[in-house]
Amino acid sequence: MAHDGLGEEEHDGKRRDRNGSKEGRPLSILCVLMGSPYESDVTTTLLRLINESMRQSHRVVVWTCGGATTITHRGIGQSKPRNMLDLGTKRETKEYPSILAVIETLIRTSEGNLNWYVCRHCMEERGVSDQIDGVKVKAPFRFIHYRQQSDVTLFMGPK
Amino acid sequence: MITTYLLIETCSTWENQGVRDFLDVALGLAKHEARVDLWLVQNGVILAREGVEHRLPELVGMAGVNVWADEFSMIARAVTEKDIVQGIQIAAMDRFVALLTAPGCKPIWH
Amino acid sequence: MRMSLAIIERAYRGAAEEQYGHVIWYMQMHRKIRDLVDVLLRGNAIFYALREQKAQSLTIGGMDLSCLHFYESSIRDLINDGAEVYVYANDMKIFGVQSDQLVPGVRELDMNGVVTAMNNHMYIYHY
Repeated sequence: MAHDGLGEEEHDGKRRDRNGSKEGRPLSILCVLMGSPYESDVTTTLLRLINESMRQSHRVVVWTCGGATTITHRGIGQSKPRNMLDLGTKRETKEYPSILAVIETLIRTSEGNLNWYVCRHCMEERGVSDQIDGVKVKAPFRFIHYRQQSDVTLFMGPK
Repeated sequence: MITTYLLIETCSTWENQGVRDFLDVALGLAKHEARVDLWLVQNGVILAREGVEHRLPELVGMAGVNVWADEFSMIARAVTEKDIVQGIQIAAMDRFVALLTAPGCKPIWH
Repeated sequence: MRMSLAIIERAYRGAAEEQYGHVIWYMQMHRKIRDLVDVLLRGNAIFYALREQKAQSLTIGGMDLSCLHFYESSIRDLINDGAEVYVYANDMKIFGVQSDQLVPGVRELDMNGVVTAMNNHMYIYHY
């Protein structure tokens, strides 16, 4: 049975040092994204963190909570709305990728090193149950499981 | 294993009075001889500007403390190297990931 | 009497989400639909009015986000469109921003100037 003591946790019978990373060994990083999109730059920072973590061969697990559950809602679509200031310019037909398209691309190109989970409670509370295929919706208490499995956990943003 | 606190500040004092308390925590940890990496990111890089927040020069001068400013955030907010407190190290996300995955890291986001 | 005054103080939000659609773009759109808005920058937002800013882009998962927020050009476009762009002088002092660092045409206002501006506009919005 896993316990929340200092320094070590057991999982599946294998003892793992929390934060017991040796230099160069790929780790599992859990990013818990609480902050809503558009309210701050936290989503941008998360994407940069995921990008670089995978470049350094770490595995990343994302757990979204609160307003963050909205960024993988299928209704966002692949492109942002037209930039009306582009009309009448050479950028008139330019398309801008939506945040959803960016996340889908990240997941698709991660070669299995990025797992994205969405808290069911927060998702349903905000009416964004139509989530994209690349993410998995989980019951709230499953977050503890992913924290136990990770080498390091980072909580990002206020709920 | 030695614990290193990775304190991540995302706000400037203008938008969030709690930033001062968070920096006081950094000072408190350092005074108790804890190892501290203070990572200024997003609007937190505004704190790095000379003359904005007196706790930063104090932190920079303390043993066991590194203060970092995220380069991407700095560029977005028109903060240049010559604007910031001497001793604050400008770094990119590769450094942040290295700090986050170092042995004994305890990250705290604010 | 001028039409609208937008006081912008919350700043730098949603770079990857918004891309081109930041708050100054929104002000430009207001003017396009004939809501002739002027802008007062306060707090963290005063940095929108600096000149010699650097543009940057992001590549995430191989996807290029080349139209991230770049406020300097939008501020210049606003001014060229006839908008008044003000910066609160007290916040400039707090953040150590000098007058010669501002985009030409941006005006510094002290509190008396802010009051005058509010009296001179029919509508006032806070962002």
